[in-house]
Amino acid sequence: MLRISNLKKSFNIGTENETTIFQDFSLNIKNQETTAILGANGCGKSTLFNIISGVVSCDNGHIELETKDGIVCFDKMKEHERASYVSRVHQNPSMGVSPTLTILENMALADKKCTRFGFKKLINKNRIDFYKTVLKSLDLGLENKLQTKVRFLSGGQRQSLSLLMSTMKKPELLLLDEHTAALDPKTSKVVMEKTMELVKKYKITTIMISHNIRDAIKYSDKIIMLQNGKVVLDVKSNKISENELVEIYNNQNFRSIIR
Amino acid sequence: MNGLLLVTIEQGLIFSILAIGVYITYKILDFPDLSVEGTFPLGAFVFSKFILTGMDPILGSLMALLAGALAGLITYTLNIKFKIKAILSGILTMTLLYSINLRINGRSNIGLSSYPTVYDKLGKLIVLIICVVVIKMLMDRYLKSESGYLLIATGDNETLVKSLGENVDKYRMVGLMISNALVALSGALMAQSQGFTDITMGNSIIVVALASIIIGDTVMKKRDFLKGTTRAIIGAISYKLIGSIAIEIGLAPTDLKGISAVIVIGFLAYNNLGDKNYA
Amino acid sequence: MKKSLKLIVTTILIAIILNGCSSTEGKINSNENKKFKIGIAQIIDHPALNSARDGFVERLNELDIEADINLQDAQGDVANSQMIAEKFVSDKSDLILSIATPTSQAAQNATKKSMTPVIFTAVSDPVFSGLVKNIEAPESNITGVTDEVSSENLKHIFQTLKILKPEIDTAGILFNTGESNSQSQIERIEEIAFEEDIKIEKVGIAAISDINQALESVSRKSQALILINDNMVASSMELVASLAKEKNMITISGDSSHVDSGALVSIGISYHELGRQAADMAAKILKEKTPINKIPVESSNVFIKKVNITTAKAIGLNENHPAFKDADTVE
Repeated sequence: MLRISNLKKSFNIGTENETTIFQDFSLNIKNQETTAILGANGCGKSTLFNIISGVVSCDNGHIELETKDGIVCFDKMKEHERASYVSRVHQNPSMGVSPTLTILENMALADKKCTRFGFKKLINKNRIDFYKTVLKSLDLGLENKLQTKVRFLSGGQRQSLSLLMSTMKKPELLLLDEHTAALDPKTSKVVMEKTMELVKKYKITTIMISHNIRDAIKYSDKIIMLQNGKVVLDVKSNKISENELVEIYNNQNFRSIIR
Repeated sequence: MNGLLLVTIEQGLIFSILAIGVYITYKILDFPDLSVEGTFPLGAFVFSKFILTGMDPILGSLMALLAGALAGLITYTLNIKFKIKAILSGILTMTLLYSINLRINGRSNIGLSSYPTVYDKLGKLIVLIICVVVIKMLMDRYLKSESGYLLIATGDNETLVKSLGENVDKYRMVGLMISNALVALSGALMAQSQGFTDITMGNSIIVVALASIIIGDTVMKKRDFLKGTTRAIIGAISYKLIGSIAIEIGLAPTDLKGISAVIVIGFLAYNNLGDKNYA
Repeated sequence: MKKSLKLIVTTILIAIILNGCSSTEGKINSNENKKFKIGIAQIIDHPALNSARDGFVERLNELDIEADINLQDAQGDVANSQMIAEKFVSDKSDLILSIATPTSQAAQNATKKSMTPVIFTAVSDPVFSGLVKNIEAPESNITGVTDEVSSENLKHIFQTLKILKPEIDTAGILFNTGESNSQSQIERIEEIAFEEDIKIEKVGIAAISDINQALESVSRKSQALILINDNMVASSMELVASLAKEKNMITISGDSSHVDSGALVSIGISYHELGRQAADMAAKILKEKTPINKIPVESSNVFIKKVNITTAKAIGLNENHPAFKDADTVE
């Protein structure tokens, strides 16, 4: 369970541009479930992710995560310290990889995630077969391009690689930040399916930000909608239809709907 | 061997070490570190201080190396702890070092002719070749290590480094310290080679370093970080060769720098115009 | 295709260098009426250093010494000085004239094996810079003419100051913190100033852009500005002189080229004369084959007085002022 309690976050405090995104926000995400977060631009979705992963700090509030090491409180942990529990796949395919390095080198880096980085050679020849196997599961032919530098890959290929790298070591919490938004429809489908395959197989607690209502219903267990930093819709995905969601989205007509 | 050619290659080798150092910050870490103008003479002045007290020249040169690492630490502190922009941090360190360099020996010029140098036993060329080869091998090995790859990743994509559970600042510090240590070492080697230390030694040294890197990149197109060190070495030697050719064919002294620039531009243009990837 | 082209170009360039060297040797052997090969190395282009060079060449001509002169300017780049010195040696020069300290140190280093005679000029303290140990009998291949301002010279300067402004109590000195020569000069001036009962105020600059502020600060307490042998001050002399003029400050120097650039009066060495002295030394070495250890390091033995009339008028002094007696003038 991810417990977010009493989050308060404002930007540009003290200036004339002061905006409060979250006043007193609380949310619980159940273990091993996939939760989709929808909402109009500016409602606070990305800020929420930034706060959870540690990119920005919150003014007030607590974040706790149940992990195999017990309950971990994120409040005082820096971004790179939280990385051992939280993985994030960004919208921009280049943010999860090192473009000047090769696929092999990127995989080797991900393989060592959250371990001690010392002076041994990074690339371990014995692991190359493992990397190939993992890459094969994407069906993109990347296992034959180990020596290709990542910046020569297409967006979809890069994003797939990001996904693999984020999940090579099973995270306690996976944040999908509109991770297929920048891809073409076909690649988007492939990456989405691949993602959910991994999520289901390893039962990863996942939060997914998306503007794609169909994907949200199809792949998540629960749907949450935010407006102005508040939860205005909290339903199980099998209890709402696509049309209803589209209407709610378009009308922005909320009373708190909880099903 | 022709004396001028010999000196050219020797200086080229010394500047190779400089170029490798600058390569680490400028190309790998993507941090434009301008402090090298102060770090290069720092190495020379620190070396001079110790050689004047009778220390062994090899030890003196190592002291210069350490001093350079400290200078890198200053730039790091300004950039990370005080959150000053990269370019400004480098400039501030360089400005600080100007005064520090003068204070180390209390003078701006020190004659070293009558003191021992690291070249005494084996001669300049051999010692320098050994230095460059050793440094290149160490750097290449480091850049293939887990830590070295993180250094590369830090310059590439900080978010990735953080997602791997590593502190980005740590690698900035490592990169700045190694880079400036190498620059200072090359300053100490230069002082021993030319027979004196002078406060003006560092003037425009960043141009020399960048030109070396550019020429090196042009000559060897494969963008492989391993060969980055090789490219820096080739570039530095080529740069010096160009300069000495200008002197050799007796160009008007006032045109010396201009001609060097024209030839570097020639290299770049030749390279860029032949690039089929762009229209 | 590209790689081999680059390889070819590089090879050709190297061949040119090697070839350039050997063809020079050819020249010497075929020449019956031998011209001396003299290399002149300058660290940077500026009036005083240029004067020394011109004086040298002028005197050589007067002495009927035929020479192939190779003039090189390092353009402020110390690494270039080393290359230039090296080139002179590999060209088998008969003599090297090095102007300024870093150039001379580079020449010293390059001639360790060849022992090519090196004459330095415009070096304030050759012992301090490691060029010579024994001034009376130079122990190696290096000797020369220093441009230090002697105590005698300094006394003249202070006395002239007192004639120009009897009520003077403080004189200011502008100097480049980065030049080692300047430190020792200032110490000597302070010694003499003490004897002459005048206070000295020193203001250091690190770059030419600091000059305006420095002069502001100096003008408040000092009534006169003493201009020393400092490359940075010398290369911005026109600015310094005009700022001092605005503040009605007397500018006095030991170097006449300063007066050409606007300083009021100078008593002292002339770099042109220094160059001529160096040429006399060169003649001894080249024609009379005098060994270096019999050519002691000299300082300037000619004092000249020079006045800038325009400046004098601008700060309200009559050109016939007794302080200006027997002086060369310039407008």
